[in-house]
Amino acid sequence: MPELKDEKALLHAAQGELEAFGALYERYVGRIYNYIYYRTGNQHDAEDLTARVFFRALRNIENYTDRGLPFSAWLYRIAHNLVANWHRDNSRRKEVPLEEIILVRQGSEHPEALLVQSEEQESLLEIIRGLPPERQQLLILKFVEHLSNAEIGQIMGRSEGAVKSLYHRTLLSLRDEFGQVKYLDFDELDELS
Amino acid sequence: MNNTAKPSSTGEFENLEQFMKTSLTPVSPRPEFVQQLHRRLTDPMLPTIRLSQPPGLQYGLLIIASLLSGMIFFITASQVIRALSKRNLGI
Repeated sequence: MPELKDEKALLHAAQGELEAFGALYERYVGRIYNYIYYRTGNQHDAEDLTARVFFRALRNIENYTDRGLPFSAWLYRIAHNLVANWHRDNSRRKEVPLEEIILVRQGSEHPEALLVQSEEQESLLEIIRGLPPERQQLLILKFVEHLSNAEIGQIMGRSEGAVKSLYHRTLLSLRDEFGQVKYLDFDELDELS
Repeated sequence: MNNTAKPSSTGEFENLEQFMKTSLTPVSPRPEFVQQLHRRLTDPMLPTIRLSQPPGLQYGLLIIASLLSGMIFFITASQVIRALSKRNLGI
């Protein structure tokens, strides 16, 4: 199928054209997976919930109403609700294996530097996962998806100003939470590298 | 939370943002997963499980059936008790 704009693909998908839905799926599966991955912290649940998001979207696409928001906002909302249910059902905090969140970096860095860095990253991700859901969503959309405040506002149903304000409060609480973690000690990493 | 206890220096926030930029990087889903899900979504021949909510009518019928069976049980039990009592009294 030639590249269709979201609106056209949506129109076709709503009429039951699975190929059009497939095109939308291919366009957004990575973003939705990323969002869920960072919210759940493991690949298995990220895959399971990503599949649920798209099956729910497929089931309800006939009822989709265009309110001037991007299609991704609808998908993120489904994902957000499913992740909230998932957290409710798994109230215990899941352990995330360190190797899952060590991110592959380019270049050959010193192994000790990588270890220090990955431990700090683990601390950061743990703290982020402890934040209220909306703040987690904001950080993921901002840093993983590189969306602007206006785009984030559309997805979260908030004004751009409200997003800015929420972001500032999130930074404040992250700074306080981090406390004693040596996340700012990049000099140490430089020395080791 | 006491946010005024520490100065909110711009440099501190910039470092924190920089660290988040390097830590929160996009991850790629497994290609096999993406392809398999694509197939499941777009192949009409593959069976899909639909979980439907029981409609209100079904709930209503369930309640009525429960009440009826409860009443039948109560009447039967009371008749049995009455018959046993009569036999014991030798009536």
